[in-house]
Amino acid sequence: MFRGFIFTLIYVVITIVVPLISLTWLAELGSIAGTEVGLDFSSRINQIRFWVLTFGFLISGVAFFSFSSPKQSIRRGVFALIQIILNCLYIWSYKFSGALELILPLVDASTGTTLGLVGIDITTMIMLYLGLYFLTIILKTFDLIDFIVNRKKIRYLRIKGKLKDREKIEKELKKERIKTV
Amino acid sequence: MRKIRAIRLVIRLFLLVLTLSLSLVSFLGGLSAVMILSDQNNVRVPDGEPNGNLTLYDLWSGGAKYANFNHVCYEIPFNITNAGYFTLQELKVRLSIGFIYDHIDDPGPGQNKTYFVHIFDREINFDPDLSGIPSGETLKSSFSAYYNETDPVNGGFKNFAQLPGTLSDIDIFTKPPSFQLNISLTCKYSIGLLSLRVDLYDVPLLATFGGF
Repeated sequence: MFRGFIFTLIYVVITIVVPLISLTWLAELGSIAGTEVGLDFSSRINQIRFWVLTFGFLISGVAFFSFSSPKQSIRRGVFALIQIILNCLYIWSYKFSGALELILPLVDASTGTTLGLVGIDITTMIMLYLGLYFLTIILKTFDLIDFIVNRKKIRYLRIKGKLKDREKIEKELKKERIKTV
Repeated sequence: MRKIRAIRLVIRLFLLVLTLSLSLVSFLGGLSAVMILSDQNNVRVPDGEPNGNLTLYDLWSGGAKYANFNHVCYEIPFNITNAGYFTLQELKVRLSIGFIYDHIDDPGPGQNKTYFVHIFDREINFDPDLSGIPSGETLKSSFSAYYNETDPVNGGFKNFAQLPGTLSDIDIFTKPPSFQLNISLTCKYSIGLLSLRVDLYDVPLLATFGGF
């Protein structure tokens, strides 16, 4: 449970806090090349924020269930796979929210006239991330199949591990009893 | 640990290294873009006074349009310093010059219609061998525009035939004609992962239709 909360917080920072801070900083950029300019970001920023928050909360919520599940359990495998698919959709949402090809008008802050525009295209970079996540989907699918096929073996090893811990505790209790006697 | 879990761990570590490398490249690329754009001395377009000859009409021959425009040329020097961490690749500069004038008695007597004629449009690739501008280096070059009668595409100047035949057709008193210069720079950064573009509209062009 505690582990689930920790990872939820980590994902909230990575998927929501960091992107929103970056967007806010970009929107408040006051000068480029020493020229006082304003970047007209207002039309896009609300749309981008909406999708970042939507998918960010979804991913963080699923992360809680994934990381609070026992290791190598089917439940964990299912939630981990859902999380990876949500991560892919999160990255894809940057594309259809217009955040991958940012075209920002350069406006002279003093006169209000449009001087030009600045365009930043990060599509190639995001597609590369998606490729990596696709490999992770294959890995998580493999995990899930492994957990389903070998569930009896995994359960046996888990119980054996707990038994070993119990034997260890009983040995220590015996030693203490011998000492007191 | 089961054998299959060990193989899985190796693959996971490999993916982790790939993701961390990509994240580091992305972060340094973004930081480099900020470092380049935050200092006005890193991107200077134009760098100094542009020079050339945009004489379209012969003022001494009744204001007639020139029969040939072999004298028409324009040069804009520029200076780009790569203050980032990666090589700045595929730098392309596009220049577009428009001639804006009011045609007298168009469409009818006493009426003047404003025309915009694109007289120059050309893109030059300043990185043909894809070696780029390495980190810390400066590219000092100039954009040269010239008229080539036999090959107007390579020269870049065009559409002179659309201009009025004489100055008497142009309103030079109440609304004198002017030139409009648009500049566009495109390049790739962070080993091709980031594409940057800067467009500047209506850059002051020190030229007159009757020459410098």
